[in-house]
This record gives sequence, C-alpha cells and structure tokens, in this order.
Amino acid sequence: MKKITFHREILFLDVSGILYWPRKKTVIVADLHLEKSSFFASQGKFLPPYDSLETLTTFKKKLDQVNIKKVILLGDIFHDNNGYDRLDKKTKNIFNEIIKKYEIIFVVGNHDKSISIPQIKTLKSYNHEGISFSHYPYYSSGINKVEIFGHFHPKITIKVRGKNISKKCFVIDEKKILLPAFGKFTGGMDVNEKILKLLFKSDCYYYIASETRLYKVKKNP
Amino acid sequence: MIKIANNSIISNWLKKKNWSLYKHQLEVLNKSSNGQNVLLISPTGTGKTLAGFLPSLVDYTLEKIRSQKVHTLYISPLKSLAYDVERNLLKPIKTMGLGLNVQSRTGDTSYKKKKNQLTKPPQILATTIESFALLMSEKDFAKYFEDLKYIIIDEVHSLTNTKRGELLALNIGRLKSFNKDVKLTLLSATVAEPESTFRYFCPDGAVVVKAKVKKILNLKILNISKRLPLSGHMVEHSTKEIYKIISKKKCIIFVNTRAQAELLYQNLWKLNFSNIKIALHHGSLERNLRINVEHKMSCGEIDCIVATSSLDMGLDWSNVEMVIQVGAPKGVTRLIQRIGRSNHTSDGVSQAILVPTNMFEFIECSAALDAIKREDLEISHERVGSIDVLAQHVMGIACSSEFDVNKLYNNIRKVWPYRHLQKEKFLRVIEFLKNGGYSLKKYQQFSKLKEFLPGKYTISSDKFIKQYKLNVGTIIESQMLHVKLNNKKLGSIEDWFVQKLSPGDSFLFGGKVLQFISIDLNIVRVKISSSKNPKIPSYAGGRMPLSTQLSERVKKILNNEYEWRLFPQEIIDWLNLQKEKSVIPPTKGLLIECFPRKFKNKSIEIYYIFYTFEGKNANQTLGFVISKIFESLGIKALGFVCTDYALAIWVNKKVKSIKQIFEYEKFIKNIYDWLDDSSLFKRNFRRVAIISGLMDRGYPNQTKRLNQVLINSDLIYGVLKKYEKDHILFEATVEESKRDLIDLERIEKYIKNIKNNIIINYLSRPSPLSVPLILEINHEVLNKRIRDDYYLKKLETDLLSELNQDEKDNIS
Repeated sequence: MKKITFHREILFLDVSGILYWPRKKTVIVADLHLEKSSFFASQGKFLPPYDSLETLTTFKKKLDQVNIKKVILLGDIFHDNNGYDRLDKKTKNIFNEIIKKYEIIFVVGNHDKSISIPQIKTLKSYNHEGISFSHYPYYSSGINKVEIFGHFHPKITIKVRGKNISKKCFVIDEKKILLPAFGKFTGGMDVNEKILKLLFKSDCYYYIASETRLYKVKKNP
Repeated sequence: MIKIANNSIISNWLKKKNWSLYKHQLEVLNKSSNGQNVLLISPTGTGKTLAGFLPSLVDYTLEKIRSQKVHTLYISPLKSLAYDVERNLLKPIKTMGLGLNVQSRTGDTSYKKKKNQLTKPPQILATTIESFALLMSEKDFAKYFEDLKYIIIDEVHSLTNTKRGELLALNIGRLKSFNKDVKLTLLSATVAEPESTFRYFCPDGAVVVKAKVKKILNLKILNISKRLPLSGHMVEHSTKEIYKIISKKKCIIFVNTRAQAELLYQNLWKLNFSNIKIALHHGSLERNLRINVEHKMSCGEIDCIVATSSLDMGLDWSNVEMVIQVGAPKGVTRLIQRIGRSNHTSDGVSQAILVPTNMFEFIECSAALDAIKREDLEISHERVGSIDVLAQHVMGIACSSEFDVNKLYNNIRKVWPYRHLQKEKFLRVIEFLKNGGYSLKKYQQFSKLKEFLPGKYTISSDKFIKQYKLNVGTIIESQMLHVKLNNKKLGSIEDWFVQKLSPGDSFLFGGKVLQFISIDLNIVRVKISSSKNPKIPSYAGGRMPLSTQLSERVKKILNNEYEWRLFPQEIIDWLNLQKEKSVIPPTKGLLIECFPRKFKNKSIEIYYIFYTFEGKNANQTLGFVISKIFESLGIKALGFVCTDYALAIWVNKKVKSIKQIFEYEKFIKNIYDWLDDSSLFKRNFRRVAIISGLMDRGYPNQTKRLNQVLINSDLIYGVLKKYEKDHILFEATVEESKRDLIDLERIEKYIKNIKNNIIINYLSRPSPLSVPLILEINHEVLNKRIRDDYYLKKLETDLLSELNQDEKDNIS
C-alpha cells in the first residue's frame, strides 16, 4: 500500500482501488457495480454471471488484510437498483458477511440511487472529520470542500516506446481524492477527459495501479 | 437444348450489339434451364455476369416469369458489385424491351427503398451476404422468396471456407428448405478445386462449366536500373520506372499495405511533371471518396489508381491497360485476380508487371510467375463451420419464425460446413442463445427464446429482433476513429495509431500530409501540413502471409541454380555468397544458423535464424513459443523478429541442444501451453463474442473514451476462463484461434516434417541470407508491432520503475 497525507490524515492507497484510513479503522471504496452482468443479461446480453462473485471475493480478501471496523461505500455499489435481489446465494452470503462484520456507511450513486437492502440505511452523502464522502464531487457545483468521491472510474494511458498501457488510478490533489472503480466489469474514463481536467486543475497526482504496486506521477501541465 | 437463334428478343439484341454468345454462356443457359446447379469458371471479362443472368432473361422472354415476386437473387461479397449489376443489367433489359425490374439492396440502401422492396419486390434483386441474411430474418421471408428460381453467387472463390461463406451457406440452406426448386449459379474466375467449391453451397452437386477462352497473360518482373535493396517494403528504388509505365498506359497499381499505397502515391506525385491523373484507393478512405474514384476511373477520367486489396474484386473497367503489382504477391490466386483487372474484355491481352521491393520478394515474384504458368492455385483449407456464425444464424431464424429444434438440427446438417455438427454442440448453441448457457443457471428469467412446446421455440421479445439486426454480419473491425479536415470526413484510422500521435505530429492519409490537432470523442481533427517527414499509418494484420504453395516454390527455386539464370546479378551473387558462407535452406527440413553480434557497448548477443518459409503468422507463433522454450532452459530471449521466410531470435547465451527442442510431441505441448496464457485467445474472443451476439459491436456514434459503462471483452474473457472454461464461446474462441490466427495446423505439419532434417550452422558472423532479417529488426523495433502480453508485462515493469519516484513510501 502507498502512504499519503491528506487533510492532515495518514491514508493508504491500495492497488485494488480501496483507501485505508488506519486512525479511524476504516476502508473506503467506490464503484463496485455488482450485478452488472445480470443487468446486461436482462437486456439479452448474457455476460458471464460471475462478476459479483469475483469482485466481492477480492473485496473481502482486501478487508481481511487490514484491521478495520468500518466500511464507507461510495456509490454505484450495485449496477442498478434491483441488483441486490439478483445476487446468487453464494455471492449474497459473502455480501451479507461483510455487512454483518463491519459498520457500513452506504452512500448511493447514480446507478443504485434507490436501492433497498435489508439492514442497510442509505445516505446521499456522509461527513466525517471534516471530509465529505459522496459519489459525485461537490466541487463541480462550485463548493470547494475537502472530499473523497468516485463515479468517474479514472484510468490513465501511458505511452512507452510506442506502446500504450492503460491502468486505473487514483487522482489526488490537496483537497480531493477520486477513487478508481473497484468492480471487475467496469470500464474507465481517461484522466485527460475534459471534465476530469476541470475538476483537477494543476498540481494533482495520479497514483497508477499495476498488478503489484502503485506509482505516483505528477500531472502534466 | 435452348437455341438462342429461336429467341428473337435476345438474338435481336445480340445482333444489334454485333455480339455472339460464348460457348460457356450457352452451356450455363442450358444446364441451368435443365434445372441443374452450375459452377462457371471463366476469366475476368469473359461475360461471366451475363452468363449468370442469361437463364433469367431467357425465362422472361419466354414469359415464364409472371410473378411479381423475386425471381433471381444475385449475391456478391461487395456492395459495389451489387450496384454494378443493377446498372449493367438495366441497359440490355431496356434495349430488349423487357419489363423486368432490377434493384440493389445493400447496407447503404435507404430505409424507404428497403421497405418498398418488401412490399413491391423487384424480379431481380442484387444484394450482399449481410443484406440477404437480414431479408431471411424477416417474418414473411418464405413468401417473399416463394417464386425464386435462381440464386447467382459472384466471386464465389472468396467465400468458401470463410465466416461470410458460412453465413451465406446457412441462409441458402434455409431458403432451400422452403423452396426446393431454387437453382444456384456460382461464378468465379479462379477456382483451384471446383468440386469442393460447389459442394460448399450446393451439397447435392453442380455441373462445372469451364470457359475455353484462353486469356493471354503477358507477365514480367520490372527491370530496374538501381540495385534492389535487401530489406524493406517501400518502393523508392523503382518509383521512376513505375512512373514511366503509368505515363504511357492506364494502370492500376496494386500494393499490399495501406502504408505502401500512401507512400507510393506521394512519391509518384512528386515526379508527376506531365500531370497524369493519379488517384488513391484503400479501405480506410471515406466511402464517397472511394466511389468517386471508382466512377472517374470507369469514365476514363483517371489515368492511374494506386490501390490495396480494396480493388481486388469486381468492377468492370475495360480501359485498364496494365496492372502493376508492387511487393510480393503472397498468393497465386490473389495475383491472378489482380492481373484480371487489366483489359477486362475477353479478346484483350492481360498485361501485368511485378515490382519486388527487396531481393527475397524478387524470388517470390519469380515463383509466382512460375506457378501461374503451371496453373498451380492455392487450395483453401477446409474449415469446419464456426459456432459464433451458427449462433447468429439461429437467432436470425428465431426473428423470422418459430422453430423446432430437431428439424432445425437436421436442416443445419445439410449445410456443407456444418455437415458434421454434433447434436450436443448444437443444443449448447441453443442454450447459449436462450440464457447464456452457463452452468450457473442464473439467467433463466431473461431467456431470449421461449420454449412454447417441448423442443419448439420462438423469440421472447421483439426487442431482440432489433438487436439482431444491428449486429448482423461477420466482419468485425477494430476500433476506428474518423479523420476530419474542416468538418469534411476523409476516412477512418486505427485508434492505436492515433494514440501514438502527439498534437503537431504529421501523418500521411488519403494522399494528403495532415497535421494532428486533437481527438474529440471519436473524431480526429486535422489540418493540412507542409511537413516533409510525415508518419505513415500502417495497419496490424493487414498483410496476407505467404501461401504454402508459393513457399514450396520459393524453396525449390532457391535449391535449383538453373532457375537463377534470369535473376539480376546482385541476387545471384547474394545466393552464391550464402552457399559459400553457410548453405541454401533445404526444400525439406529446417536450416538454423547461429552467430554472435557485437555491439558498440561491447555487449554480445547470440542470434538464431530459423529459415522456415512458413509465412509471417506461423513464424510469429514460432517466435513466441521458441522464446518460451529458451527461457525454460535458462536462456534469456531478448527479442525476435520474423518475415514470411524466416525467424530470428536473439538471446544472451548459446543453446546447448537446439535440435532437441523441435521434438514433435514436446514442441506441440509447448505451443498449447503458450497459447493458453497468450493474448491471442483474448483478441479472438472479442470477434466471437460480437458475432455470436454476446456483445454489441460498437456503434459508430458511440463515444469511445466515455465508456465507463461499456464492458471490455478482455475482462469477460478473463472471467470466463477462470470460472467456466468449457463454455461454448470459450471453446469457439480456442477453435478459432488455432485456425486463423496462428496457422497452427501449418506449424504442426511443418514440425512433423522437419524432424529428420535439421541443419544447424554455427557461424562467426551473420550469413548473407540473414541480413534482410537483421535489417528488419530495426523496423520492428521502430514499429513495435509485437503487442503481446509477454512484452507488455516486461515493458510495464521497466516503465513503471522509470516513473517511480518515491519507492520508500511503499509498505506492503
């Protein structure tokens, strides 16, 4: 994991896309997009029905590796509002195990806005220790808060010796952290896309995830 | 026996034109009218198309056609041919005063016209494979085609044993199950094996009619004053000579790649002081631009076209006087097809000149001329009908009507490429279409097919019809971006090429030097540039590998010095030097050379050269596999490069027992192990997934970079591989990859054959024959064509450690 200081807090970034906050014994994650395959299946595209199992197994493994009590979910945890009901038994068990074991802060995203899951209260956003946790950034509406959010699935393409390597990444500046998507079947938005360029002006860093570690790169002016 | 003389309408028309019919045209007419399927093999420009339509015209004059429904269906692999037939048939029909209605129907036909064609069908319908498949998915197709009498399939040699051929064969099989009287007329200029060709579409047999018209071919290899280079594929050394020819004769210049086309076009214009009208034609140019060029050529407004395979087939241009083939032909059939574009009338002599771009290609050109003389054409390898095409076809059936599984299975088995299809496999295809066919039965409630009675299915919702229609066809293009100059579309270009450009870079496209400004969603904005040194978009996989026939011949020529007598002196010297320093690669077996190379920084690399002559695809696969074997022996493979003729691998130390690695069983096992974790499967999976309907093909207007919600086919592949390796699509992908991508069959055969004849020569420096390959190395390093995981992973490590700034912060 990679250590950073953000808003006077020590945080750790993980290659998988989770954010670990040791002082508060908390993990933050965004954009799992569970049951995306079965959503596509309902439209006649029968993608392999193993994406949720794959995503949740990895997620659980990650949680087991750290000493935490609380998990903040930053929206688009399910690909649609009926996603939870479509989990198969085995996968639902893993999900329920996680929500039983930890205190869960479930902030909704655009995909799971009105989801209902037994024993789970959903929030539009969550404020804690002076940091705002939400799916969308507030910054876009002109309010400059300290915030952690998801939604964009940032990825970066690096050109090296004529080849392109595309990887997911964290985007971080003094006041904002944008998390990459954690889900198995998620696409990505290039960090050079206009909206991301607007959100993060200068002096921001990309933390690029390879298989085994993260690499810090300063944004090109 | 039909006598044309008795048919006043047709004989009057012929008289007026001062024409008489060829024997083969009459033969087609007679056999066809007798109710037989016909395969007509007849050189280009000998009235093939007329022969195909003659039975229909005669039927009409005899008033056998009374119905207002489709009587003759013409199917071609090219849209342009469908228009051409419409245009060319309308004239004689008018002159003869026949009230026949001829119309074309392709992907470009307007919605309104298509709709009209359904309610008021023309008697003659000219269409493409994909449009035909769509017609067959209409609800009342059986009624639509109930009076159909003839199906004409043009350029049939280009369809057998391809996915498009499978789609067509399936649809024809289906049509025949409803209308048993339909007869097929297959047309081609070049067919190596008539029987296997007609069986493909007419399993119950056909008569072969061969035109007796002998076309005189005047073929030679261009004499140039300059020395032929040892390596490279560009044409600078012979541009002057080519210009001389095109300033005297109307020419088509065929090249093998788009990059060659762009460069040659530029260079010819640089010399063009007498202002000859030279045009450019390749598949990436905007359709309107291409059609414009084609039209101008047919009116004689253009003197010369530089073209890629986009002009290989079809259009009749009687005014082309000469075909120039630049670069080695790679295959005999293709060369004949290209030569046929010259003097498209039967009495003319076909003139063609071959322009090799390097010494090896000169030898290949001689081999090709020899093969043409002996009429030794390539045999297309029979391929078993593919699963993804079958899945698409069955979905098309479901769109048009309900079906019974057992009956359908029996009908599919009557289609030649699917004659060995097993019931179990077929049922898995049905399961796949129903709900994905996964062992985890999760999608039952989303079933696309409804089983309303045991074994009887119908489509469960009309929304799937729309989905099918948007995704029909078997041609899957790679991600393309549109090139726009001041809001005018110039054509499309590969995404990966654009990604290599930085704003301000210039590149050649459509004969213009363009400067890259920006990417705006899926549009590449450019302006005209005056750069003298533009990049050239090349495209991956566009080149055809050397055919086995030609490769055999090249080896024979190399081993028979008598054949060298017509070579330029520099090639003879080169080959003699090879004989002196090493040996000439044997006709049967494998020559391996091994030598060290020292570099400026004093490092030494050991080179291994394998002269396989098995084509670029096979050599590339061998390159990966041998590198992997080397690594397992503790030898570091630093890189490799290949051409059609040979493969070079450079390593850090000598391999002790090189012969042993070619032991058949072990080597084949190594291939399969490598395949399993290579990215080849992944690449093919996307195609299979789209054709079978698992994924949509990207729609042209879909924005490429905002694709958070799109799913990457690589991810799907990864999950499938992990959780359900015996899924039907996984199986289809493996089959497919073995067949197309890597020439596995060719490699297996080759390894089996060489086992007792491996020559290994240890040399102190590079041999003459290896020089072109080593020169090619630089090309490869510049172009970075090898985009395999293996390399990517290595690169990634390198790159990321370069980027890494504060390693210390890592905890784990």
